[in-house]
Amino acid sequence: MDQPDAIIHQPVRLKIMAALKALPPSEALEFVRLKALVGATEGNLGAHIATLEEASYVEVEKDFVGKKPRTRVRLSKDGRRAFEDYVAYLRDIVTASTAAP
Amino acid sequence: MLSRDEATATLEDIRKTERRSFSAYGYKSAAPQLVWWGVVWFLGYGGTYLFPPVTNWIWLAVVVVGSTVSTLMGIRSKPKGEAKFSWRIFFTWLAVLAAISSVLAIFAPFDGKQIGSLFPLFIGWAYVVIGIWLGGRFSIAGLAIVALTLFGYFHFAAEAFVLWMAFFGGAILIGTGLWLRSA
Repeated sequence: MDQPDAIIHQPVRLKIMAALKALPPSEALEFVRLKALVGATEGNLGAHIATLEEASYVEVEKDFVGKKPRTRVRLSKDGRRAFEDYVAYLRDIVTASTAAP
Repeated sequence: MLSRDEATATLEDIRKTERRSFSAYGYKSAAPQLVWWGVVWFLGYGGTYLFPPVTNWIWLAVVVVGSTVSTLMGIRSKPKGEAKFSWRIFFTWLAVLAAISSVLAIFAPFDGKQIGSLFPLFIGWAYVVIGIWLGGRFSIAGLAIVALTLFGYFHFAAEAFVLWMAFFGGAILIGTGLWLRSA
């Protein structure tokens, strides 16, 4: 990978991906909890989740708990792979610079 | 191409976010369990206070029912596709129980107040250790259990100690569960 994955590289989306990656594979995070973890506004977070969903990096589930709407976000298999590749890309940069004379 | 410093800073951001998310997930998973064990604790010590001759049977019953319900709660909370039973959690608590049993075997005989203190002390310290790995709130909860138990042990006679543990021990577990849920 010569360039970082532009979709993941954006700071808020990177945090979303990192927060989801920390969960067990099939576990989802509720929108409100993700908002607290990422520290983004509701509108901003919604827009970034939509971008990740378009790239098939996350899956979004909407349902109701009683009468309250609930949105949950889960990392997809493609998203997990893309995130792992992105982290490997970063590690390569650090390792290469350390190894250089 | 990113510079080495940028890559290092980004990796650090990722690590911090993963850590916070992992802790929040642990808190969310543990919260209902702690509330339930607060109820079990209240019933165990409350039963001990009300019916001292059958204390052993009361604790056998509450531990069996407590563990069964706790396991079912854990299984129900798992999403599709994930292992329903965590052997790692099971063996962690089995190890704590074995540690308590070892101490009991070596230092016996104990009176009721000592046994009633030993279990919460080990459990409290286990939470402190869990917190070191999973998130600080577990450690704070563990220290609160330890402090409460030691305070009760050194300040109250046997009967009052059992009541103290029923109400305040139970309350602290339930309170901690609610506190973790809000994390």
